[in-house]
Amino acid sequence: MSKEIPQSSIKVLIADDSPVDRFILQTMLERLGYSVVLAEDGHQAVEQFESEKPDLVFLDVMMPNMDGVEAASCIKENAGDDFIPVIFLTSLVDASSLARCLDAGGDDFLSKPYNQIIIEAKIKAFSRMRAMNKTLSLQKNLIERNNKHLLQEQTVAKQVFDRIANTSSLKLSIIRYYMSPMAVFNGDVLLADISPTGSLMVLLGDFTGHGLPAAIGSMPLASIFYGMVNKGFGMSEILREINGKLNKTLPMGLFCCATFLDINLRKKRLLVWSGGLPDGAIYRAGGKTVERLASRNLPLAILSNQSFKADVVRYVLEPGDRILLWSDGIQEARNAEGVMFGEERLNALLEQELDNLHIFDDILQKVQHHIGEGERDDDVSLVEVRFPDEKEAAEVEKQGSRGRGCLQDWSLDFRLEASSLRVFDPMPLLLHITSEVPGLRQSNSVLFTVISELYNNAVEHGVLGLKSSVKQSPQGFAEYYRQRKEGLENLPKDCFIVLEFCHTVDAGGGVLRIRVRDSGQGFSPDETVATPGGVPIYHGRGFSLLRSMCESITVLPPGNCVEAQFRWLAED
Amino acid sequence: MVDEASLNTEILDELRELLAENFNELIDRYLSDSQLRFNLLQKAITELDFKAINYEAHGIKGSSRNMGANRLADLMGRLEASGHAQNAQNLLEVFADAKSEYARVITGLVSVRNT
Repeated sequence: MSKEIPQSSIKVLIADDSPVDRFILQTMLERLGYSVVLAEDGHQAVEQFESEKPDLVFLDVMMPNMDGVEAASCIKENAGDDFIPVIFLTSLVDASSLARCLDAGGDDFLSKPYNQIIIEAKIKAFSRMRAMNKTLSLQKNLIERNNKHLLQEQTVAKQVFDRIANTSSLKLSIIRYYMSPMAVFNGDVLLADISPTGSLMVLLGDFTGHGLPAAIGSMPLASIFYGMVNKGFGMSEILREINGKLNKTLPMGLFCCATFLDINLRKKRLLVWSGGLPDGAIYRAGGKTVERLASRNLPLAILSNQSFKADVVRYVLEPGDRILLWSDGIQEARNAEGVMFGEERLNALLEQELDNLHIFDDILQKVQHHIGEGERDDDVSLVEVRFPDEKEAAEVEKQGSRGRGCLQDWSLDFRLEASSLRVFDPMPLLLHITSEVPGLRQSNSVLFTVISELYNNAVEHGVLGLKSSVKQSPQGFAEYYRQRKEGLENLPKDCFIVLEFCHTVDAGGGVLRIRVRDSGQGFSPDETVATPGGVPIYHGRGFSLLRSMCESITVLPPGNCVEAQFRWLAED
Repeated sequence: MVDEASLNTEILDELRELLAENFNELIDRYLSDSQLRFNLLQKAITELDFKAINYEAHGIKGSSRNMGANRLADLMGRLEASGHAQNAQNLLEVFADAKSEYARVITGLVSVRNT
């Protein structure tokens, strides 16, 4: 900004009814290199200003038709946000006349006789101010545009989020909550839905940070939550899925503090997983006591799924018990002096009013009172779930039965012919089906091992008739796989493998029976287990591994059919 | 012949340097404009039109100040103030002084006009 603006590009308007004074000033300015526009009275001055758009105006105070003060007002109004310096030409000396000129929007005075050096200094100073003003005004416009754009984007993002986070379950009679309408941009998110198993699932989350980065994590969070609750998955499976997704997708340093409630209305039990949010509370209706729900886990997205543990605490609930959750916006709410509401004030409130039915309103009211009227803090999120009596529970549960349910008892026969055996890997397809059973989904990696071991045995020993004993030496391994490749390439047309799945649910969980039958001659797995002393066993390990994973493994005569029975236990 | 008390020669020299070939035109403009205003001022004083007295005296004062005619500018300043205050006291006396001072200014300006 230190660069001077070329003088010839600066246009100056002189308005003066005295031909002598006008002539002198015009000559001075033209000799300094400015371009000059002239006016002889106030009316002309305003007209010339509108048509010539000068950068700077010299105005005589006393002029016929319209005086300088009035002309200055018109010019300033006409200029709008654009800064046009107005300098009064005057030999006025009394203070009140000078003040009147400044009130009318004048920026400076020039007294007679005119002095060229002073005039040049004034014009340069005002040109710098004008350039600075132009820059500021451009930046202001840019900021305004950006802000408008940001708000538009947030509105669209909010609409998308609202569609994903179907909030209809938050309207349940047993849930009360307070959140800012744009809370998703504070990183706060509240989700609730009723699962087909009769559990009310509630998740309060608080992403680190603010704005769009904080809001972005809410999308996969909400979509996994609703998708899996609807299919009847349990809390720990949903948490594991959310944690894994967020861990993989969120950038370093961005994570989600959350508390997850699984309230089973029939069994009257509450499961709580809490990671990083302030300790919630259960208000007991009967004993008039309060229990705190301590955070026992790291927030979501921090650990990889290998180290993630869904450490869940169980409580028994009675009608009238109320569970309260809040985000740290409650403790961190500041008043005008910057003092936080604080843990102590909140704890005192919770402990003092053990028989208080209005604790939700009280907390909210006290926090908002603390913040004061001046500054609305929109970071406050508070939710209360009241455990209903049996009549109300039935009504609540009815609203949850709209889910599409999950797989219960089913069976599947799947036959692979020779051409498929050569090229197709059936594992992804089969695991996709088994993972539709909530109880089996958590065992996907075990099931993968079991099914792929049975299938590979059927291909290698059944259909191809390979001998495990070939693998007894390291060189044998290579030979074995050469034979396998060759065998598959020249597979006879009438070869096949049939996989039969049969799944049944019972009170404690369920059983999946997997039967794999092949077109081969049959083989006894036992013969391969015989081990000469000291020789490492590279083969035959498969069956002992399967036995450790399954309830039972049975080889059916003539040895071309193996049945595995896999049992899973319900979460509670 | 320039009377130093009536015309500031330093200002006149600066104006001559500034305007160069237009210096004569400046003097001609001053002479015709001030003559016109003097007539209007005379009329205003006769009619005791204070608003016009204030306005015309102010006009002559400004351009006289720019021409270096400081004593005339001072006298006009007094008439301007009288007009503003609507005060008729000494009006005729000050105007008489102004007229004779104006004659000296004209004589001086005509003499510095390039021939």
